[in-house]
Amino acid sequence: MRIDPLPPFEIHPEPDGTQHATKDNIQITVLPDVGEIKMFHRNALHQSSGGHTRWLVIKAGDLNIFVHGTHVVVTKNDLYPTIND
Amino acid sequence: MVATVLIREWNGSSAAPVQTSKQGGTIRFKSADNAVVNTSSRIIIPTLASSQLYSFQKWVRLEISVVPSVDIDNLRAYSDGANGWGVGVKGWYRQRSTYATPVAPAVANDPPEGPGSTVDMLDFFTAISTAPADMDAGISGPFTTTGDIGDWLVLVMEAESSAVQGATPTEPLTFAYDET
Repeated sequence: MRIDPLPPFEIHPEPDGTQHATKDNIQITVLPDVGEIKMFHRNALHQSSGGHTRWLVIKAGDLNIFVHGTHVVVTKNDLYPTIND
Repeated sequence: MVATVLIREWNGSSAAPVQTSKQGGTIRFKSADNAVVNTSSRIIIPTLASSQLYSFQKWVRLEISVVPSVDIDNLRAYSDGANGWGVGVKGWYRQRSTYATPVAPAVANDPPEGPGSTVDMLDFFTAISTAPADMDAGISGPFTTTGDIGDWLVLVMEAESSAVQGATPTEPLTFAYDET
């Protein structure tokens, strides 16, 4: 059995367009009125250290929401994890 | 299912390339084409002030070893933006969608050209998290099955006469991808 050191969020779309992302005691809900919604995980492999960063990314309308642990960043920019993230 | 993606260095001829996992390993720039991390085939510091010497190219690519639930796409690569190798040591990169036997760029060109073209390579330390190198412009996703994915990142180290002898510090290389 493979144990994932970075468990991902579970992503649940609903028929009305609402999407949920849940992990542990965190639940994020995005309502369809924001526009087009896309949820996925952004991974970064840090070659020299062997480290692995995984963010939840939510693209909601023209906003990008990046969730890493308890840190949430909301921006219109597209961000990628650095080795310090 | 969560995917497993590996960083692998490619060496050898285009007819029979050899891949070596470099996830957490060292990519050692040297004056030879192999993935061995040792102090053989060192890059020589030129004595002529206006000249430079190049390492052999390092060809690096991602591989899916465990497939994702849906797909993987948006492959990117970047540095930390700060050249920590020291004075007189530079890093160059280009993306390629076809593998070729690694060689050292011609020393007549500064910056180095190629691979396989007369186009200048780019400063690796300008590829950063806010402006990463696009690694699936040639071989594009979404990727859904096991195997090699995206373009090769081709890296070259340059040594100028002002470089200091000895091993350089390790510089981070990051590959990113989106997974659904």
